[in-house]
Amino acid sequence: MDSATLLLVAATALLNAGFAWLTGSLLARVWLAESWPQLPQRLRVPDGAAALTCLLGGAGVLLAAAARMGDTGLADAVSMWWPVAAGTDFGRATMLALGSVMAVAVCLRLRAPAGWSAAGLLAFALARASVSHGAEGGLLAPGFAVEVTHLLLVAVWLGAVALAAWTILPAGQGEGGAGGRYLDRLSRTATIALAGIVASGVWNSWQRLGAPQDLWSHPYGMLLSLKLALFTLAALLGGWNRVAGFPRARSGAKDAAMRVLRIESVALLAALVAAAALASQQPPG
Amino acid sequence: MSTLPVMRSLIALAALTLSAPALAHAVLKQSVPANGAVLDLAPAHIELTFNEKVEKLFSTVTLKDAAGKGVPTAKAAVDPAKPAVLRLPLPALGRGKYVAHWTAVGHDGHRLGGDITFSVR
Repeated sequence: MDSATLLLVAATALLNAGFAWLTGSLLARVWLAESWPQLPQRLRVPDGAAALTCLLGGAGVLLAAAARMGDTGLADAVSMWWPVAAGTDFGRATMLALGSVMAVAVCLRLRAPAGWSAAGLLAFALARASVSHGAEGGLLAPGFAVEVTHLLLVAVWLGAVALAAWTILPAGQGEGGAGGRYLDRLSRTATIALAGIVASGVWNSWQRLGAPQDLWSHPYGMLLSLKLALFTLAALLGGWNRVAGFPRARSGAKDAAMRVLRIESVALLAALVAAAALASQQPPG
Repeated sequence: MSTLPVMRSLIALAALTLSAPALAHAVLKQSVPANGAVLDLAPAHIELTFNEKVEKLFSTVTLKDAAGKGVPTAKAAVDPAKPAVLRLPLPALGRGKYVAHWTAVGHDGHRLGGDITFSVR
């Protein structure tokens, strides 16, 4: 893998991770609006870090894209950064996605109505999906809608789990039962998201793989298998938490649930990196 | 505000874009002259038609003769009216075999490339 492709994978993962965090932040604010009114204040710094992560990721995606489009090294691609950002479909879509996610960060900061942030998150997913493999059939083809849904649901799952693992549970004790309330919502939402991710993932695999054996014989299929394994691991961890970890956390023993949530968030982050690597490659089908 | 309506709105809005059948992955659909063509008259241009819009900044065609020497030409350009068409105007070509090497970047930012071979007799 050349340096431009490595940068593209890393920067795409950063961009999508920041997007997932902001998605989780919106969900947490909605879920805990009444039981933890101080939450927005507590989320200001991590939300700002997520927005910065998106900015760095987006800038890196455009630099890597310029190098790949022009078949040059990263240093030579610097002068092509703006022409690619402003003059190509991929660049304009990435700029639109960046603008959308920055608008979400501002809306969250200003405590604007949740619908505004939701619209910004949808705009991000639409822009990103418009230059993905899912849009190869056009913006009116089912593949595009499936890709948008897939991006949103992965962000919902990763974002909600990451918020629980790194902010809500560590700080939630003694916050008027906010931690328990969050876990109830997380449990239901992650189940819905998982069902949607499995359905959209099966559709995507069917569209992009030539044959089932591509899963273990073609580089794209092998990466897809890795992503599938990471999602399966995350789903198993989520399942354990649902039946054992969360009931204990609700009765005060939250450490085990928090540890498992942290492992789950890392597994999902790794799946995000695998997904970014998939986006940088040509599928076999 | 409850969460499920927010999630349902996101997913429903995404689902609204459902319709129309999918096309193939970005590929070269047609070339004039065709790959392997043997022509009585030298072509005035090479015209490549892709299945989707290609980026004008990064889409080019270069021509070499049978000895592998570059043939000086004007710059290839994407047709403003048909952005899936890339055209290279040619000077008067003598008899012999030629190889046109093309590179094109599709809407997803992926760089594609290939060769078209033709002969003038």
